[in-house]
Amino acid sequence: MFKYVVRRILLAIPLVLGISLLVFGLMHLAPGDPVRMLAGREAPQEVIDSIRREWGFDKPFLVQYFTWLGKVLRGDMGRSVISQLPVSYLIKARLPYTLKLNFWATLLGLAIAFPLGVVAAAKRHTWMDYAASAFALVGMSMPSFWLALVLIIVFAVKLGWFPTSSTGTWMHYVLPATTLGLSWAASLMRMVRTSVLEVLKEDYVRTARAKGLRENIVLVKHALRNALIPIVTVLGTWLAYMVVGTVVVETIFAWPGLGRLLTTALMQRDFFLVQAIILMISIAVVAANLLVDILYAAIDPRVRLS
Amino acid sequence: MQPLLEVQGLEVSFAKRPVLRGVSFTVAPGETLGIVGESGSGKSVTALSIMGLLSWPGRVTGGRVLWHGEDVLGLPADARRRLRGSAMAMIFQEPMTCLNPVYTVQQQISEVLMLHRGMNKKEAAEAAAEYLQQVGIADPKARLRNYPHELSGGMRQRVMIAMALAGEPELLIADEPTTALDVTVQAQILDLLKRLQAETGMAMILITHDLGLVAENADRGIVMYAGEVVEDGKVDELFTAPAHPYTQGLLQSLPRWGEQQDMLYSIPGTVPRNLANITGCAFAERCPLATEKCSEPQVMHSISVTQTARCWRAQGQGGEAEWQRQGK
Amino acid sequence: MPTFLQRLFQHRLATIGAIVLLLLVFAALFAPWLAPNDPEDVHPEAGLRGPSREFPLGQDPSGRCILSRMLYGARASLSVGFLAGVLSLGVGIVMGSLAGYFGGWVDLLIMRIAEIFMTIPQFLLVIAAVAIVGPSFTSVLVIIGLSSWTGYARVLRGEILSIKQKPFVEAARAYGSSNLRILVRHVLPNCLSPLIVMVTLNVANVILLESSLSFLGFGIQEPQASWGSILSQGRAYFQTAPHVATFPGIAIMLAVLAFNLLGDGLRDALDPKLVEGE
Repeated sequence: MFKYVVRRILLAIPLVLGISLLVFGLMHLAPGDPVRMLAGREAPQEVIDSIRREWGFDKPFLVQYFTWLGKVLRGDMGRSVISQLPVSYLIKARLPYTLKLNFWATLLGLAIAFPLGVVAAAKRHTWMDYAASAFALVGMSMPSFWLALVLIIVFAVKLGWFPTSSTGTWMHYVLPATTLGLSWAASLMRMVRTSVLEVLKEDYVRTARAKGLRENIVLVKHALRNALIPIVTVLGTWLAYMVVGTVVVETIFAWPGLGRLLTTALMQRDFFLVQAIILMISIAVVAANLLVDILYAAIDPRVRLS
Repeated sequence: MQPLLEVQGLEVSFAKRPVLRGVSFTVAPGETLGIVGESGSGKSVTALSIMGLLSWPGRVTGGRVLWHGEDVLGLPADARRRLRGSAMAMIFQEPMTCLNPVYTVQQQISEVLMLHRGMNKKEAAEAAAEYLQQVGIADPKARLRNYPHELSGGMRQRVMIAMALAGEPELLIADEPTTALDVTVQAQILDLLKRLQAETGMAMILITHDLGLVAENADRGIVMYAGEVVEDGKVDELFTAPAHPYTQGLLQSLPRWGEQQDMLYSIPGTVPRNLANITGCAFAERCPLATEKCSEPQVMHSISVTQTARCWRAQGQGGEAEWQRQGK
Repeated sequence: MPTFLQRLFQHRLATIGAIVLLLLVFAALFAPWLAPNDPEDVHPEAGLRGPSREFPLGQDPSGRCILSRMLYGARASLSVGFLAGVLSLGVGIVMGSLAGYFGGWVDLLIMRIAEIFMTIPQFLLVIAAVAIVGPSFTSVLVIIGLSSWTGYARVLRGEILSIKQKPFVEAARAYGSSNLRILVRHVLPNCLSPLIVMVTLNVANVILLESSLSFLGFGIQEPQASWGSILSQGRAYFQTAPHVATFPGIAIMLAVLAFNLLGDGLRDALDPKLVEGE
């Protein structure tokens, strides 16, 4: 098990390097001088020159990359060209909001997706299955920003139950977390349903029934535990879902998290900040996938040995 | 004596397609009944219907399954469930996939002991080791901690048998228990089943496509074809005086010791797929003796007190297979 | 093939999806004839007015006809979806073939690159790249297309790796078939089904992605209409004039739902693991 974990971690290192190269390379997509873009449109010539020198932009691409990488590894991801504050400081200030929002959204998503998915699979070909599957299909097809607008119109504007934006009390969490959680729950529910359906066809489920176990024990103990294995492997996509949702939802609800920081940075063409946010989130995805692999080994005894 | 199990006119359909078309037989306490047939004949569906394990879209559409004289088909689901694993247990063809890969052997056997025998975890663990011992697994304490993927096919089938025994069943249904195993292991498993039966006095239904296994291991046998029982009798009757042309054909296709056989006989044709429109004898289209009379509905004819066959030729005589002498 | 189409159309939901799609494509193609008004015609005095006889779905902040803009917007939204889908399929086929065919370090390199693309959330990559390059119909289309090829490449590579070992490929080689010919004749037909399903679902994803980009202001730019851009215009006013955001939202949902339904149906029809009892 220990070996397995170490191997996974070692495998992740080249991946992270590749990601950083791509993220860094993105800046070179800009038509014209990347420094001019990083420095911001109205930057005076001295600022541009100092950035060029500090980050080695007068050198060849690979030298630039390693200069940048060296700085990043030491925690220096540049300064925001708008506020002149260090990028790491800005991110640190916003991160907790995003984490809290995502936590509740994830919890809500799990609470919806698992029961619905299992029930839909267990009661296949009944109205419960059809209703749950319809919910999932519609939820998957609905753009999250549109769902957010509908929720705001109904629950904030018409009914006045919840505030429309910003943070403060738990009331502020309800609408953004619901938007975020529902979109994810829809796709997760489909996965749970498919996976449980697959497992229900397995011989060992028939064995469990032949033992005379109660149907709900067959479902939860024998089917779901096995169904979790494929579900866990795709939990990595959870972050991808959350990222899109977070950017959109935070922007709509004026939530002071990373997503909104990103859209603001993009609007203001504050690219040091953009670079840092993308890099950080991507590394978080790598970490999440790593965790998933380890979790996978914990659930499936067949993985531990090899 | 009242039979342990009596199946009367059992009918099963998958969606709207009939699969069993009125299956009847009995199992006496302690006896071994062999059910023989090709794949698609309805052997497994019969077993699953008795256990109450048919899954969508399979549905019992008629008949009765009497357990100690009481129809279990009408029982509420929960009462039916309680019978499973305790009164009647079942083992399957694929030991590789029948055990849950994420639980240890101990967890899977203990589950039965805790459910049906009211043991606590510790008692169950001890009893589980004893059952492993009983099914001939060496070092049971160590094996208890294994996951299924760490065991060979034969070992897994032994674990399955131990799990079935753990509920102290009166009837064990073994559905092709050795088909997926190596030849040497097959014999061991069958010997084990025989020995356990002698030790516990349970009855057994042995489902197989191999008539030879029935000859060696069963007291009585029924032959199934296209969702019906076509012949029912004591094993020696089936082997010395088969009355139904299908049984005769099956018998002819068995390899025999000490006999020069250039080619094994095989019944021409295949089992009909759609059973919905069959009115006469389902075997007629493959039967070398078929006449016009075979397109009429066939009933079971008694040949002796213990032997019956679903063929009009069997009426009132021993069903001596004249066509065998006519050559192939 | 006829049995495949039969199976597809027995799938009621897939049929509904296909019909909805055809209607949307029809609307996009014939927008100039179907649109009740000129989509560029502004009526500043009538901004945000609700549905009326003349403007069936109401007017946007500049008083333009929302229905007409949605009809023209369908062209942008659907063609971004189709074109980006086709582009990523093309890139995926090339990358997957290279990786599977050459193996060795080429394979390693391509699969590492694919892993990088799969790890960085696509939305972030796309929104940043679009912001850097400058948002437009073309940049959105190309960037989305270039960032969603990984799934196709994996399928193709896997198929090539498995087919390389089959005897008939040896035989085809022995008869002097070129590698390209083997690829086209043997490999592609074998992975056609998963590829078709993937394209369908991918198009749904692209339409969603484009609408999110447009909504945030990094998609197709004014005055060109797309469903996302109409919706984002209504964003500022959705409390007082919800119709501006509602209708394009419904259009996006319908299109994505239709592609998802069709994709599900295709998957079932192409991969018939028939649930039959024995």
